[in-house]
Amino acid sequence: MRELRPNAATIAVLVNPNSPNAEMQVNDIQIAARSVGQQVDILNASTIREIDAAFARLARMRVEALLVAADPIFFNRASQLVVLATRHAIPALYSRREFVAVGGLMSYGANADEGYHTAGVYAGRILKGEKPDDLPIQLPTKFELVINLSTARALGLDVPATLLARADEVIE
Amino acid sequence: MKTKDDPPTKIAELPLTAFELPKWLVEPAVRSCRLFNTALDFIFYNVPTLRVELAKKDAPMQARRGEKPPSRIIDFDALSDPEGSLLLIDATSAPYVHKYQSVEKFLESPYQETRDVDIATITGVGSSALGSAALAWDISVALEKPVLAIVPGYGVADVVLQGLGGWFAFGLHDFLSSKTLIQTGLATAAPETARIGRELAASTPQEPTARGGAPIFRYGSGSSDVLHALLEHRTTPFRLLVGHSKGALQINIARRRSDRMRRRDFILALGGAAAWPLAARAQEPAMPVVGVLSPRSPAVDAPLIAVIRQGLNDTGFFEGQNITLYYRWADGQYDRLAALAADLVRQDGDREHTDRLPRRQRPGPERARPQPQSAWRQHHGRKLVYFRP
Repeated sequence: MRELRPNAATIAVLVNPNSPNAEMQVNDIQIAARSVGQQVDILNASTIREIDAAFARLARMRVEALLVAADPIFFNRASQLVVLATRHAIPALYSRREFVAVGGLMSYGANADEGYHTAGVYAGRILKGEKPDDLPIQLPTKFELVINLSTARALGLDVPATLLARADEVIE
Repeated sequence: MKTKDDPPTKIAELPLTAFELPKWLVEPAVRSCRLFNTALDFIFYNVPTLRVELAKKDAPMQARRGEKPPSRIIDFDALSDPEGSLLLIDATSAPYVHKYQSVEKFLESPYQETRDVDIATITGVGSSALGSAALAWDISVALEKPVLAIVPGYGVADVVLQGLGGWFAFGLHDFLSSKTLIQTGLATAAPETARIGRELAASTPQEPTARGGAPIFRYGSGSSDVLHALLEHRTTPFRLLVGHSKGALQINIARRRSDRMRRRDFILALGGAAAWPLAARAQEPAMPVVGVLSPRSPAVDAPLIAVIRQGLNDTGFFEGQNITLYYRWADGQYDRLAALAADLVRQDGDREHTDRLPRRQRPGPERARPQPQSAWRQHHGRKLVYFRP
């Protein structure tokens, strides 16, 4: 996000406070932000109405960039979030490709298919008698960066060539 | 001709309102005929088996108290499907029954199973959703493939034709194009009445309409128009068309009018009641059960569930063959997750009474959150693999 908006004074972060991961997510983001001297502003939302309210606030604050934390609630409301970001012309970075496919600007996150596939394989291995305790805890290995160029153009953003070169997928 | 984008014509603007039958007269008449036909479905088709099978697969035809049926699964509560629909029935994998209420939507559907289905059925008699689903289910079980059931819808023209001895004179009525004449007459004189039960037929691409906007049949009846549209517009050809009773006639009409019908397409007409002896089902070996709990809906999750299935396949498990998957969808209502999880555990418990496998061989009950952090929990000493995607 900083590569895309190097001059953004504040990057807003949308988090679902009810998520068990929320604290960890906020922590990680703040550590990352501190290391590069970036101001971040954490916004909480866990319902449709709160998402609307959060975006109204973002618009008032004239936020120049937004991170949407990985959360099933946001994933379920992918199109709502993308529509709101577009309406308020807020460049946003999401956690999954699906957001970008429906018109979101950019996503960076673990490839979900990989995790689901492992889930299926693990279920099979357990059914065959393997002990769950013996199965290694795996972390995602595939991360993908997806950029929607037409959204970038609509927002009047120039996507740096270095960022484009690293994208796993560019949607026109 | 009316195009799709025209606003629906209001009845008050038409000069012929005098011919429009009052609703209180039409509705009970059509409804009682539908109910009668639904009752016939129980005799002609394997409806009780369908009910038992779906219940066994934990996809009951009626929603449990206070529970909405999952979005793509038909609600059989209505007993019959008056407006007509396309039911995609796959006895081998959940959610077993997908319902499409518009032919155009079906043709545009992005789902692989919708594009791939190559068997279609049309039932006879009243052709309610129940009978159609039961016939398609038996075929799907026998051939282990998804089957498309065309539920034609039931309107006033059908009542009139039935009154004219329709069941016993299919051939004659076909020769005289009676139903087309009746529907055209109705559509011209009383478009509102003519529209009853014709929603599916009206959704076929380029379906002709009378001046009032009510659909008239191009090829004899609603179901042959629907099948004709499917034959013309689908990329996948049908390999097998199964018609029972007048359904066979509809297939024949649609096929005659379609130049895309290929030689390798195969038609099976059933004269009598469709009773498929399915002895194999009686002795199903006890299969391991995996519960899948999703905070989302079947429609949103389809691609992800496909990946889970792939993972299971890679370890030698194939849904419907040597593993059963129980699905629970919270449809975005997270507060329901706990109850759904408890329901999954209870389902597994219910199974115990029927399992003949010795206890230690039975699949077992941990809950898995495979990624990124894995947490396994013992649950009542049984094994239930549980995903939280």
